[in-house]
Amino acid sequence: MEGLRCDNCGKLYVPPKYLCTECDNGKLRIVKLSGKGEVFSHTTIRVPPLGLEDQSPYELLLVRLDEGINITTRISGKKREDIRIGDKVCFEKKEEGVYFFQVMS
Amino acid sequence: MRRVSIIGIGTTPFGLLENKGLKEMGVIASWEAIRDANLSRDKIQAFYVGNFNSGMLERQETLAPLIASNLGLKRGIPCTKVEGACCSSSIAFREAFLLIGSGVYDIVLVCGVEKMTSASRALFTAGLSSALDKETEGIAGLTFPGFFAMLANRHMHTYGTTIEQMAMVARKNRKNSVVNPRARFRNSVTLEEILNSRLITDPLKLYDCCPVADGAAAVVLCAAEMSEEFTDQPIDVLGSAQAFGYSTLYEMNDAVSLPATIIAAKQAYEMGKIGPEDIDLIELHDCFTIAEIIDSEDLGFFAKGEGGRAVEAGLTEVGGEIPINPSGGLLSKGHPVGATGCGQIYEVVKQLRGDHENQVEDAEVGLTHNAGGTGAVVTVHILKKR
Repeated sequence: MEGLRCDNCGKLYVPPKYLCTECDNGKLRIVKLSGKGEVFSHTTIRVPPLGLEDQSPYELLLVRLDEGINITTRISGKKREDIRIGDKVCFEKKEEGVYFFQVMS
Repeated sequence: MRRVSIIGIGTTPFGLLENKGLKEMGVIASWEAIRDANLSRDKIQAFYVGNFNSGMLERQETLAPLIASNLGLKRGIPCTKVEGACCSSSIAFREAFLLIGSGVYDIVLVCGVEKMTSASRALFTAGLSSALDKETEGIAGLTFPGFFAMLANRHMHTYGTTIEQMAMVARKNRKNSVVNPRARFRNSVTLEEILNSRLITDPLKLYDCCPVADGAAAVVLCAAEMSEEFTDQPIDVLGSAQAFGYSTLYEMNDAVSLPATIIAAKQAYEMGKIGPEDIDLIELHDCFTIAEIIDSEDLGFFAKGEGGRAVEAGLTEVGGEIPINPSGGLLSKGHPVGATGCGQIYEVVKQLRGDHENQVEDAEVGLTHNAGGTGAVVTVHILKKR
């Protein structure tokens, strides 16, 4: 999983990001992230937006990565009814700008 | 900055206004406000319109001069549209406040208007979603119920807030709007009905979510020193603040607060030299039941995490210590997105005039809180009866 780190102040971001919003002098460089984290919050979307009707209902996670920043992601694998805050997750893929994580267990 | 006052208010009902389009609703609400202010139209020096989605939902843009023409405002005055999602017309109100306060104008008309019910559900859902960050969470499939559901799950986990406490917010606001002729819903619902309603986005159910609506509301603002020419019940703007927050869920460090609310509230209280303990009633942004709980904490009425328990204890009923949303709020009065900001101000002005159907006794100071989208932009206004 790729992240962006400011080469001046070290702040980390999940892409896309165009500018370091913390300092004036840095450039954002691609770095490798562990891809590991845990569920910070979650929900199941049952009234989908345009274009996602055939995937409804689907889970969305707000993941707190081990690096201390958050990412909103879909889950890969089969639908789950039992996801809990604190469950361990790991990055699977980024497809057309959408992140997919696997729930471990 | 000189003192600014509200001298007139007007509105349409909020709801399914089948035969009424944007222009007509804007004219009805604005004309009522102008008449309420005992004002002749040509005295209005500028016009601000708050609207969110007229382009997408009605294929109609450039609303401000359009409504001005149909209203008969003095040809040539500046007419400006303001957009900030759900916060659009309270930002418009603030623009008028700033221009009068700084002496540029003496009298400004503000109108919020939205038409949503002619659009299909897929279209207005797409319209609402355009307030998200399309490039990140929009494409991931997040929706507004989804955003607030994530906050709900986190709030429950961190503070022990319950689904029943959230349902009590819906029950209270439905009960509050029974007597409000401007409200979309005029019937109460029981806790059981709320808890048994269908899931929209876990854990939020149907009654946890505000309904779309059509509607318009308008306000005439005037320099305080001139206000008594027009009304014997001027309402003074004690505090006005606007702050930007986050357009995404993932960039918020925690998910139990809207940081822009905290910032705007602090600024408004400081401007008014007043604190939460001085506020007699509140119309805040209950787009979802959990939003009312979170807003009530972020505005300083309850400690962080205590908002759910406060509702359960009855503190936020009309007769309680901290009356919240006596109008029925967005949950029950309805949320014609661009009109809500002025709609909240309308309700508070009626309360402060002692003229509200669900009157808070001895109301002298009221607060409105309006949050756009994910709390990307938030306004707080504090109004006082002179």
